[in-house]
Amino acid sequence: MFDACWYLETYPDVRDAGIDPLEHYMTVGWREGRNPSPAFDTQFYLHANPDVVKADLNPLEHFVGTGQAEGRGPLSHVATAAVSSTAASSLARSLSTTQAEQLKALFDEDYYRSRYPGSVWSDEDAFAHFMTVGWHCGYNPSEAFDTQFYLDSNPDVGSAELNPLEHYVMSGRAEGRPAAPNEMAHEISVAPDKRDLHEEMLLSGMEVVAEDFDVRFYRRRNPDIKGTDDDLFRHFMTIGWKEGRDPSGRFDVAYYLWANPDVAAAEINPLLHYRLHSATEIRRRLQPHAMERAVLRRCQAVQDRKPFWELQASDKAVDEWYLTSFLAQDRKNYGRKTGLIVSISHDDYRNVPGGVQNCVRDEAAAFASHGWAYLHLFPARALSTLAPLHIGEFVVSLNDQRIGRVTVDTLLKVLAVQKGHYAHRNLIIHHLLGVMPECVPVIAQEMQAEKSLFWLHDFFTICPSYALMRNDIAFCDAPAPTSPACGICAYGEERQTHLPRIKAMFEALRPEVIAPSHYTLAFWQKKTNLAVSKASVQEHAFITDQVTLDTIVSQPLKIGFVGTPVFYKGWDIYRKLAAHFLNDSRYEFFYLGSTAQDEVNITSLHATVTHDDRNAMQTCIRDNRIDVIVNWSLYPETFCFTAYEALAAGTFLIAPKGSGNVEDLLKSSRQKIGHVAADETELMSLFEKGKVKSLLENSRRTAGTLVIRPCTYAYLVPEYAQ
Amino acid sequence: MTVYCFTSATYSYLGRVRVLAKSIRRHHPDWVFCLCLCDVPPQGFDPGEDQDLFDEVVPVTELGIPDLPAWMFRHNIVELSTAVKGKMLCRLLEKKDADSVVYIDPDIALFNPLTHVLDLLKEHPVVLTPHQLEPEIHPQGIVDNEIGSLKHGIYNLGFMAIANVAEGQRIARWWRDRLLVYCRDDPENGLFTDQKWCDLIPAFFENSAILRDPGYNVASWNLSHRPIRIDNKGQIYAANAPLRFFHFTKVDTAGEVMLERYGSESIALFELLRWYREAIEKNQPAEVPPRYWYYGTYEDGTQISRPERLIYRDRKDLQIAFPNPYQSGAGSFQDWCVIHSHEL
Repeated sequence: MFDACWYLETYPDVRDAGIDPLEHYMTVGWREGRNPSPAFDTQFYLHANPDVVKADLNPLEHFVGTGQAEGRGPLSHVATAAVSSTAASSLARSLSTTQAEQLKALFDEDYYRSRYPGSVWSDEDAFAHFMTVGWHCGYNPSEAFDTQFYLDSNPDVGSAELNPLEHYVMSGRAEGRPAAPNEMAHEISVAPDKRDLHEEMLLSGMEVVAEDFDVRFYRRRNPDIKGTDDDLFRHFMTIGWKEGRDPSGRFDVAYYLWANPDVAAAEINPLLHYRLHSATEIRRRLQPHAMERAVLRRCQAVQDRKPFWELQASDKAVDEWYLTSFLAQDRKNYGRKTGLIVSISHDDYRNVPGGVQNCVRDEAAAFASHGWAYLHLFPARALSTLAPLHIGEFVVSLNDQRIGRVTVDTLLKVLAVQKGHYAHRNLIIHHLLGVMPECVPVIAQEMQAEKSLFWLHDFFTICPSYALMRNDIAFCDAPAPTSPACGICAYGEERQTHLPRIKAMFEALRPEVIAPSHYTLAFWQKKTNLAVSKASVQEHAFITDQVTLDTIVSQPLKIGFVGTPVFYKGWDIYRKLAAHFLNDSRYEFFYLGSTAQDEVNITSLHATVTHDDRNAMQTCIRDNRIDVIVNWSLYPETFCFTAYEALAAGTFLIAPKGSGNVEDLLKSSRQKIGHVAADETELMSLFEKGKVKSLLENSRRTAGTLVIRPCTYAYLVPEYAQ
Repeated sequence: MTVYCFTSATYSYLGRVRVLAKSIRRHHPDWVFCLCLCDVPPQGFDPGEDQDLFDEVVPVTELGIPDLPAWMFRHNIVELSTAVKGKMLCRLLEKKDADSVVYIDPDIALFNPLTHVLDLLKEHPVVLTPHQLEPEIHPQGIVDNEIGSLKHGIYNLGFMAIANVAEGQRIARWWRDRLLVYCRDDPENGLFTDQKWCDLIPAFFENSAILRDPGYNVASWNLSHRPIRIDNKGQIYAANAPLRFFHFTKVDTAGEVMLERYGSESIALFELLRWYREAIEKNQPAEVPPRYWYYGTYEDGTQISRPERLIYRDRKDLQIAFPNPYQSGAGSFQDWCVIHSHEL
C-alpha cells in the first residue's frame, strides 16, 4: 500500500529533504493528510473512521492491521470508480487472451462481491475492479490468492507497483512463490505442477512479445548462444534480458532498466513490462537520440580535457649545439642544402595515421628528395586547445629522423643562424592544436622565412571545435562567439580566448592560406576576417584516366561505409540504416576499413591504407564490387579522401547536404556519380522505396586513377602540381 | 532607475546561484543582483569569493523577522528558502532607486535578455509565468502537469517580477505577510510554500500580467509543448520563441528521465542539460560539504527531524517555552524531543 516512488514524486519537499519516504509517511506524513499511494486516501479514511481518529492511530497501519479485514475502504467510491474506469480499457489492450483467461481463472466473483460488500457496484465489472482498484486496496481476488500476503512476501512486486495477481500468473508461480500463507496455490486447477507452470508462463510471455523478438538479430549479436530459433527466444526470455542482451534493434534492455528503475528493482523482464504498460504510460523502448546522448555523456568543456599524450619528463630537451649539429650533419651526409622547411602540425605524422598526417608525410618526402631539409615540429603535450602562454615545447624531427624535445628558445636561436646555410626558408603551418600561436610569428621572423603558408585542413582557426561540432554532436555553422549556442557549448568558453589569439597570430604573420577545396576557402572567408597575404585553393588529390563503367548493378545491392567508424563521420547513421534493413534481401551492408566492428547486418571487409599501399581502399572497393558508398559526415568536409577513393574506385556516392567538399564534388560533376540527400529521412526513404537502385541504374559512374599531390611542395613548385 | 534582481538559497545551492548570477550579468549587466542567504557559511569557506558576482548578500538574520530562531525552526529547507522571498522583495522595493524587483530561482539560467518582462512592468504591477500555457493531451501529461499545477500552483514562483508602484507594493506586502505565517509544503490543505498563494494574485490585485511567451520559464512541466532547438545563427529556441530562461528543476537521473519523458524530441535539450550540470559542478565550492545546511541541525550537529519541526510549528506552548529551539543541552527543545519522542 505504500508507493515510495509516487510519494517522492508527489511530495517534493520530502524528496528534497532526503528523508526516507516510508518513515516520513508513518511519522508525520499521515498527520499532514498526505497519502501513501494513490490507492489509499488518508483524509477519507480518517473521515470515514472516527474511531481511528479518536484513538490517534496511524490510518494506514490500522487499515492493514484490522480495517481491511473489517471491510473498511481505503478510497471513496467516487475515486475508486474513476480509477477503475480509465484503467479497465488499458487492461484489455495489454493482456493476451491466454493471460486474461489465466487471471480470470484465479478470480472468484461471488467471493469478491461478498467479501467486499459496497466496494463494487452491482453493474460494475468485478474483475476489472480488482485489476484496477481492488488489488491496490489489498482485496483478494479469491480465497486462493492472498493479495496482501503476496505483496508482503514479495517486496520486489510491491516496490514496482505491480499487480500481484498479474505478477503471480506471469512469473511468480513458476518461480515457486506461494499465493497464500497456507499454500493453497497448488489446489488451483490451472496450476498442475511447477514445471508445467513454468513452461506455461514462459509460453504466455513469449506470446505477448513474439513480434518484438528478432531472432536473426539475436543470433548475430550473440554468437555464444547456439540452438534453434525457439531456443534463442527462450534464452532471451529467461536469461538473456538479465544479461542485458537486446531482443532486437528496436528494444534497448539496458536503457529501459535505466529509465525505469522500478522495473529494474523488481527484476522484471523489461520487454514484457513494456508490452503490458506502453498503452497507458510514457515508456520508451529505445533512448531518444541515444547516439548523441552517448556522445554528450562523454563531452567535457574542452579546456578541462586532459592531454591525451605527453612526452615523458625523462625525455630532456636537446640544446642548441645538438640541434645545430643535427642540421649540419644532414647537410653533410645528404647534401640537403636547397632550402629549409619548418613545418608545424599537431602530432607525429611519422607514427599517427590520418589525412593531415598523410599530407605532411607526402610533402616531407617530396621536399627531402629535392634536396630540402624538412624540420618538423609538433607539441610535446597533446592538448585539445591552443597551448597556454609560455608552454610551447616541441618534439622535432628532421627529414623523418627524430631529434627530440626542443624548447622554443633553443629553436629560435638555432633558426636565427640558418640563413647562411639555406638559400630558401619557408614556414608551413598545418595545425595549431597544442601549439602556442604566439611563438609562430617569432619563428617566421627568426628564420627569416620567405613565405609563411597556412593550411586550412579544418576549422580550428574559427573555433577550438575544429569540425565545428557543437558539444560534439551537431554542426553549428560557427555562429557569433557571443551567441547563446556558444554559451552552452563545450567549446564556447575556450573560443572566447582562442579567437583573439588566432587573430593576433594572423596579424603578425600574414600568411598565405591554402584551402584544400573551394568550399573550404569560401566558407572560411565568410566566417573570418583574418589578415592574410594571399588565399588560394589546392586540392590534395584528383582523379585522372577516367573510364565509364557499365551500369551493372549487383543483386542484392552492395552498400559500403569507408573510413573511421565514428559518430561524426556518420557511422551511427549508417548502423541505423543497416539495422533498419536487416531482413531486406535488396541490400547487403559492408564496412571497409581496419577498425573492428560487430554491428548486426554489417560485414567487415579489411582494408588498411598505408604509405606503401595508398590504393588499398580502392582495391578493396573494386574487389568486393561495392555498388554504393554512404559517406555521411555530420560536418562539412574540407577535403574528403575517402570520397575521392570511392569515386576513383567507381562506386556511386551518397552524401548529405552540408557535407562540404563532398557535396560540392557531387554537384559540380556533370556525370551522375552520386546523390546528395537532404537529410537522414531522405536517406532512409531512398532505400525504403528502392530509389537507390534506379539512381544507380541511371548513373554514369567512372573509375580512374587517384593522383595525390605532395601538398605544400606542389604549392611551392607549381610545375610539380600537375 | 534600477532593476533589482534577487534569489534565495542556502550554501548547498551556491554553484547554481553563481551560474544564475553569471547569466544575469551577461544579459543584464545593469541589474543589481542580490542573494538572500538562508544559511551560515561552512568552516573554511570565504564568502568574500563572490563579492564581484553578488552586489549584496542579505543573510536571513538581517531581514528583521521577529523571533527569528523560532520562526526559522518551523520551516524545512525548501520552506525557509521560499518563506523569506516576500520579506526580501519588500526590502528591495524600499530602495529609493528601485524601479522594479525580479525574483529568480537559483536553479534557473538566462539565455537571452528578459525584454518582455521589462516591457510588461511598464504597464503592470506584477508579471507571473504559468507552469503551462496549453492543455495536455497524453493522460500521463494531464496527471503530471495539469493536476500538478492544480495541486502546487498555476504560476511557477521560480520567477516573479514586481513594479515599484502602489499596487506592486500592495502585492508584495500581502505575499510577505502570508509567507511569514503560512509558507508550508502542505498541498493536501491547499498550501504549497510561496507558490500556491500566487494563484490568488489575479483575483486580489488589479492588472496582473501573465507572461505567455513560451521562451520564459521552460522546464520539464511544459517541455511537451516547447521543443528546444538551436539554429545556425546560434540562437536557442523553445517552441519557436528565443529561449529566455530554463528552469533546471532536477538534474539527477530522475530529472533526466522526466526531461526525456516530455522533451525527448529535441536533442538540444540535452545539450542544455550537459552544460548546466558541468557549470554547477564547476561553480559549487569544494569547501561546502554535501547537503550542508546550517539551520538543518541543532547546535550539537544533530539533524532536526521533520516531526520535531512540525510539533514545534503546531504547538504555541513549545514556542513560548523554547524561544531558541536550535539550542542543545539540558532544558533545550532538543532535550524535550528526546523525552517526548513518543509524541512526535
